[in-house]
This record gives sequence, C-alpha cells and structure tokens, in this order.
Amino acid sequence: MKVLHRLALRAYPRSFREEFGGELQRVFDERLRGCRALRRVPLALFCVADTVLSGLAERRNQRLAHRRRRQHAAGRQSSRVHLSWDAVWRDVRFSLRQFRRTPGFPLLIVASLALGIGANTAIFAVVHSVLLRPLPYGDPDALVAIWSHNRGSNEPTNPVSPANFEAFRAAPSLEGAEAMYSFLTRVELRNGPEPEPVVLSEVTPGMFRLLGRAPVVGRSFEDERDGAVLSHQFWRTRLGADPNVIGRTFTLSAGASTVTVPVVGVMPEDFTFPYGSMLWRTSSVRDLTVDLWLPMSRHRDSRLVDAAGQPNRTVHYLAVVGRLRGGATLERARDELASIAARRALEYPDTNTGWGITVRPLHEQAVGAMRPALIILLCGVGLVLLITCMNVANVLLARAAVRGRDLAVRSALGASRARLVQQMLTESVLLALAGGLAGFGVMALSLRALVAAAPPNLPRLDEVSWSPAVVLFGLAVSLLVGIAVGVIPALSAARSRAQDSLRDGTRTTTSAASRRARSALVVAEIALAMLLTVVGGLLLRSFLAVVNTDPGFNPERLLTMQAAVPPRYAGAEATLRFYDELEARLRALPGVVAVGGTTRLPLGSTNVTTFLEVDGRAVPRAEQPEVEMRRALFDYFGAMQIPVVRGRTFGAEDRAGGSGVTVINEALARRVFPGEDPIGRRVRFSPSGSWLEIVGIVGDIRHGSLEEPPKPEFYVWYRQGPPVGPFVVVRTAGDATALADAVRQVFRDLGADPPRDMQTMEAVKSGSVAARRFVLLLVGTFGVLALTLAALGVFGVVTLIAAERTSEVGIRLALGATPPQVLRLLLGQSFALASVGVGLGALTALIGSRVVQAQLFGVTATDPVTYGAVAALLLATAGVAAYVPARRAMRVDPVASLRAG
Amino acid sequence: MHNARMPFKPAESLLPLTPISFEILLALHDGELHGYAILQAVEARLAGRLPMRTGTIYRALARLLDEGLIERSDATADDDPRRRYYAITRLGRETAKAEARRLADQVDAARAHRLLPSVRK
Repeated sequence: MKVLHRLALRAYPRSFREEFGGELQRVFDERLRGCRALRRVPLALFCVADTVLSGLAERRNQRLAHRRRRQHAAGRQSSRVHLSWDAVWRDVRFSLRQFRRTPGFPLLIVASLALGIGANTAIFAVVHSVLLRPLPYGDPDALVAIWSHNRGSNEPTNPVSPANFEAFRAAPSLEGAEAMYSFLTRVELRNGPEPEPVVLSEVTPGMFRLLGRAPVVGRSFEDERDGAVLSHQFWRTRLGADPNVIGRTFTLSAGASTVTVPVVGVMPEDFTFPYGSMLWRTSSVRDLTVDLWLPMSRHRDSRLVDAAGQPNRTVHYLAVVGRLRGGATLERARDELASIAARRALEYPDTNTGWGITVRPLHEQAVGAMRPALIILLCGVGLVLLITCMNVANVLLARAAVRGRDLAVRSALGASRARLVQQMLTESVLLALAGGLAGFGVMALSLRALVAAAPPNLPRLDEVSWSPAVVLFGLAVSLLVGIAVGVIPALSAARSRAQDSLRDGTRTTTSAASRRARSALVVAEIALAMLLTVVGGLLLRSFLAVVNTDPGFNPERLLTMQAAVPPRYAGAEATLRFYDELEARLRALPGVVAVGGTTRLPLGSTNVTTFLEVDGRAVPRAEQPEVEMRRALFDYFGAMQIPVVRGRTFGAEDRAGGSGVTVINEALARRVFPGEDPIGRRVRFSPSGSWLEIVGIVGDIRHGSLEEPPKPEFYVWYRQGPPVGPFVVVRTAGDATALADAVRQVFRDLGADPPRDMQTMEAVKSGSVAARRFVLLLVGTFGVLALTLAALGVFGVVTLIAAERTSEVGIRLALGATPPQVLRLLLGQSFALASVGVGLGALTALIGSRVVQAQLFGVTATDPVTYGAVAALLLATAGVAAYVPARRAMRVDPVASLRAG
Repeated sequence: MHNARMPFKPAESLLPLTPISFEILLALHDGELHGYAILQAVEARLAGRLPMRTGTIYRALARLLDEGLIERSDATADDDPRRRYYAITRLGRETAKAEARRLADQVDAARAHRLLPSVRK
C-alpha cells in the first residue's frame, strides 16, 4: 500500500513532491495506522485515488501558470499542441469519419473487445458481490466466527459445545456472542392438507440483535420460548406476503415430534443468515436457504443441558458468532478466547483437554473458501482480455501500416508527432469504450449463464448483480484497454519516417520495426494461451482424477432417498414394523436387486462424530479416538457393494435387545487397533451405553467428498436402535430412475410421506464435484477462447508476411523453387514464432500454475503430460492457422507478382 | 520563484481567499506549525463542514507559499526533524485580515437582508 501511494505521489509535479512528498507519505501512513484493519484497504485506495487526482490537478495548474507566464513574457501564442477538449473533440469526429468509411474493421474490434471486457466485467461482478461487498449485517466488520479447535482430530473449525459457548461469550473484548445450530434442519410444515418441507435454522434469541438487523414486519425474538421469524422469501413466495401473518400459528414436525409456534416476525429481503459456509463444513445441507428461524430452546432440545441442568460439555454442535467491542482487535479476542479455552481444559480435563479456539472474521468465514477459485477465474479471464488486447493491437498495427501514407501526409503538412499519437490513441480509446459498452450486454448474458451453471452451495451467488462498482470497473477496464492497445501502433506509426513512405509511393508501408512488433505480440499471445491452456489442462486432469476416485462402493444403478417414519409408528417396536414392511415391499418390486439403508449417505449428507471407548482401555474421554458413526439398515453393504474384508455383516441373529454388535471399516481397524485383531473386541460410544462386539470389518468408503481420504467409521445395526429419518438405497438391475414411481407408490401404500430428495447415487456423486466442474468449465472456456485468439493472431501475421514477400516468392518461383519449398519456408517461420511462444508459455506456466496448486488433485503443477499435450496442441493450431495464407502464397503467379513489384 | 516574485503585492489583490487557504492562515496566525499539524488544526475546525482531502490542503499550502502569504520557517519538530515548519508572512497576516474584513462585510450585508438575525449588543 505504501509503495502504491509512493507511486501515486508521482502524479504531482516534481517541485511539489520535493516540498510536500515526505509529509504526504507520513500523513498517509498515520491515517492508515489509525483505522481498523478491514477499513484499511478502502481508505488506502481512496487516499491513493485522491493523491493521483489532486496530483494531476496540480500538474495542470502549474502548466497553465507556466504557460500564462510564458505567453505574458513572449507576448505570442504557444505553438505546442495541448490536450484541450477542442482537439479531443476534433479527433473523435475524425475517428468516427474513418470508422464510417470502413465499418467492418471497427465492428470486428468492438465485438472482440466486447467479449473480452464483458467476460471480465461479469467475473468482476461475481468477485465484487461475493468477496468484496460487506455482509448484509450492521457494522459487519466487527462480526467474528468462533469455533472450537479440536486438536485431537485436527479439526480447526469444530462446532462448539453449549457450555463452551456460555464461557466464550464472557470474553471482555466481545460486545456479545450468539449461537446457532451448526447445521440446518429440514422439517415439515403441517398447516394445510399436504405437509410442506421447510428449512429451519435455530438461533439463540439475541442473534438478530447481534447481527444488527431487525424484522421488517413484527418483532425479533424476546426469549427462548418465542415463536418463529420468517425469511422474506418464504413470506413472499409461500404466504403471498400476507400482511396479517403475525400471530398465525405454524405446526412443524420432524419424525414423531411436533411443535406449534406463532409467527412473530419477518426479516428484510436482503437478509441472509446463515450462509451455508457459516455452518459446519461437513454439513451437506449447506446449499439450502433458510425459510424460518426458531429460538434455540432447552424445552425443545434436551442436549443443550446435561443431566444436572448445566450447559452441556460433551456435545459439540453450535456455530458461534461474536461481535467485537469498539476498539478491540481480532488478535485480542483470539488471545482472550484461547485463554478461556485453556482455563476450561484445566477445570474440566475429561471433556476439554485438546480443545482450543479458532476465531476469524465472519466475512472470511462466509466467503474465504471461495477466494482461491474466484482468483483463478479472475486471473483466467484477465489473461483472455490480455490476449484479446494483443490481437486488437495487432490489427491496429496492420491498419497503421496501411494508413502510413495518410499519416505521412499529415505529418508533412505540419502535424507534430504528439498530435498524431494523440489522434491514434483517441481512436483506440473510442473503440475500447464502444467495446466496453457492448461488453455490458455480454456481461448481462454471461452473468445469467454463470449463475445458472454455478453449484448451488456457492455463497452469495444470488446476490450477484449490477452495481456502480461493476459499471465503474467495466469503464475503467475499457479505458485502460483503449490506451494499451493504441499505444504500440501509435508509437510505431509516429516513428516511421514521413519521407520514406512518401517516396515509396506504395499504399502500404511496413517497417521492419512494425513487423517485429507484430511478431512479438503473436509470441506473447501464444505464451499466454499456453499458460491458460496448461492451467485448464491441469484442472481437467484433477477433475478426472477426482471423478475416477474409487469411492469404495458402486454408485451405478442405485436410487437413493430419505424416508420418514410416519408418526403413527411411534416407538422402537412400531418403527421396526414399518421398516420390515418397507423392506419387504421394496424388495418385491421387479428390477430391485438389493435394498439397504443408512443414517449418513456417502457424498451427500451430514456427518456426526463420536468418541469410541474400547473395552479394557482406560483413557479419559477427551483422548478417546473420535470416529464417525452411522447405522446400517437391511442389506446396506450388499446394496452399496461395500466389500466385507473380514468376519461377517449384520444378520437375523442380531436382534433388538440381544447382545450388541457393530461392524467397523478398515480405517477404524488401522487407527484404533493397529497390529491387533479387532474381531471380538468390545466398544461403546457413550459412557452409559451398552457394549457392542465387533463382528466384522468392511472396506473404506469416501464419505465427505471424493477428495477426502476415508475416515474411521463404525456401523450399528438398525434393529438395535432404529433411526427415524434414514436414507434408503435401492440397487436396481436396470436404470435406477425408472423405478422412482414404483418406489414412491410403496411409501404411499404404507401411509408414509413421499420420500425426500430421491436421486440416483450418480447424481449425488456428480453434485459433490459441482464446484470443481464449475471452475473447470469456465477455465476451459477461457482456454478455448485463448487458443482461438492466438490462432487468429498467427493467421494475421503469416498473412502479412506472405503479402510482403509476394515479389520475393515470385522471384524464388521464377528461379526454380518448387511451391512446396515456398510453403515450407513460410510454415517454418510461423513454427519458429510458435515455438518461442510455447517455450515462454511453458516457463510462465511453471510459475503461474502455482496459483491453482491448491485446486489440484492427483496431478502436480509441473505435470509433463499436460505440458507436452498443450504444447503439441498449440503448435498444431499455429500450423493450421499458418497453412491457409502460406498455401495462398505458394500459388502466386511468378509473372504477375514480378510485374506488380 | 516563491515569494520573491512580487514583493509589493497589495493584500487586497489576492482576495477572495479559498476557505481552506483562509483556514490555514488562521491556524498559522497563532504560531508556526508543521504541515501535518496544520492539517489536523484545519480538519478539527472544519470536520464535516467542508469535504476534506489531504491533497487539497497541501495544494493550498503550495499556493500560499507561491503567493508569499506563508513561508518556510527554520524551526524543526522535536519528534521528527524531517517535518517542515511554516510561518505566516506579513503579507499573509494582512491578507487574512483583509479577507476577514471582506467576510464580515458580507455577513453585515446578509444581516441587512435579514438572512441572519441582527446582533444586539
């Protein structure tokens, strides 16, 4: 920042800088020091902009004063051309006249710039809405996310236990802290004849106050026994924005439990909370939007307190949001909370040993995970724009060459070099601004496509929209592009000597310098295209590696759904009766091979962990291994085709009330029983629970995502503790979706609600890689664009070379050279250009691909296969692009070309 | 080039002063100050009433130096010897007074037109 400001100071004239430069820099430093970390960047940018603007104003001022003095002294008009509005206006009209004469050329340039600038503005709009815009809360910079750091399982953002939450909110640097469940709950709203699914977030009553937002209708929560607050969207779309909604009662049910609550408020339209990324990272319901909020209440949730009525210390399931007191820093809050965590570890060693603290700005929590992907996209689209610029500069160079004679005449008539450069810059800036304006159309279209293609769990994507910042960005980019693409041709044209082109008499003048400039541009284009395509190739290989990862089960021909036990089957025995019926009827369906079920569906559901106590090992609870637990229903392992490694799976002999059994996966066997035989050992997952005997070991499966290595897991048999909302998986002989209706009918026949989220396992798997696919899709598009642009560049340069050398080719042919030799000559030249470009591109890619390092999976950033393939692709593209004009040159009639020359 | 250029410029010829220039002269009226102190003094008085940009103040300083209303002083700061001190010149004082009279005259005119309540003594 300091460097930036020091650079900005250069806008001032030197004498001013000498007098005040040091002071201005010190003032800048002091301003920044006295301001909060999050405000620092905008303030610094404002100061830099201010410095540049007033520096330029001062410069102008001095120049005017200087001119006045000189005019005064010499008593005559200045002959030098100055940047006056009058001259600019003349140039603009001149350029427009030129464009009208050959409309194809400006249209082509405007179209390609519109693509480049529009794509950039679209990606910037996403970056601006997602990363840069403050969260929709009052003074959002002071909000922080607080997590427990579970050192035992190396999980820095573990949810917080109710007892720890109570302790954390007492930290002096926090103005307050509130909690919510670290997941969203799906429940059924039973107001009408049909139950409606709604998504619920439970928060402590003070949450909205802490966030600095209040309902637009009704009021916020008063205490934990209060009613429901609705989201604006739910109120509008499902209740028709009913103004008399306050006081209506909602009956919500989940499984067999039902609550009836009055509606007390409706939140504002722009209010979103929580963003999926503020929930626990393993929660799969992160892509849902909240329909209503309920106060977190001891009356509904028995886990909030322990048997003694104290806040619970053993379950970790809260996400905590805190607000820093004015003047308190993040570091101080972190220190205080860490010492609270350390004190509690001494006080309650059995539950709190190994639990630290993680504090981060809420904004970081909400969008931090998106940053790498968005930065890749921003870099990628920036490269595309750069290549577009080079192409346009190339076309302008060619045009400048054609117009060399015209420029020479103007120069001979007394136009100064500065005047000519100014005229040409005006032209390119006009073109770029037109491209930018058209780019807004491209942006509007591509934004819609972007949002449609984006995976649903990207935070804040629905907030992406036009804003003054986006428009400003688009215009600023256009202006920069206009100057960048105009400067090379303008200088090169101004440099060419007037006499030469007048004496020459031909219409075109291509100096060696101009040809060198064009070749350099093409080399740079190829190098950048190489960089972009290598990154795309690496992402593609990573994507393929992820998709081809063996999940440990067979995802083909599997239909999955979430079932709910109807309320009339309340109680364990009745629930089992329902399951028996369900299994029998599903298996009887024609085309069904096997039926299974579980409480946690791989790649598509939330996760719970628990501590595992091994019989005969006396270790405190906090040091017990933390493992994942799920229940298995019916023939789960058979239906999923999870291999049984040793022992057996569950069977009819494992009855309810009989001796408890469990099946573990290989990862658990390795972690908890290294070098031992786990079969026959006994474990339990709660201090008061009954012991379970390990009867078998099954293969590992990827649960959280295809990229995460398998975690230790154990399975409990559903007959020894039936769940209420399990996932059911049906393996079919043919197409799984064909059975969907028959399966729904089974649920209907049983008097149960229709199953939720019915989808094939392939779809679940595909959804789990949606974010990766999105980035790949965009970078792939950029790569194709880059290749096309580079090919166009090569085409243009070879055409130029061929045209220039027409007479030389004619002589060669007349002296006996064969056409293939001429072809080889021209192709050889373009290959030389392409090879230099590919070589430079490979070097840039070696450095640039580090940006995507974190996104790579199963492939290194220096993967030789990718580099080789991309280099070959680029050389081939360059060859094809050069072949067309080279062939034309080969067919030259020697006599005609000699006569013309 | 600075104040040597027109030593006998009458104070009135520089009127009216910009509000910022006038504030700077007021701040220097009570004694020498360095640039940042001037900035703080002016900001403290004007906070919220005029849009304040650092560049504007320093440019006004440059203008005043150029016109000879202020000059560089020999004093250095105790805490930071690199800081430059500025002092008001005799011409500066006269100009400030002339500007104050001009403003007072305008305020009287405003009173006469009942834009402001008249003062009772």
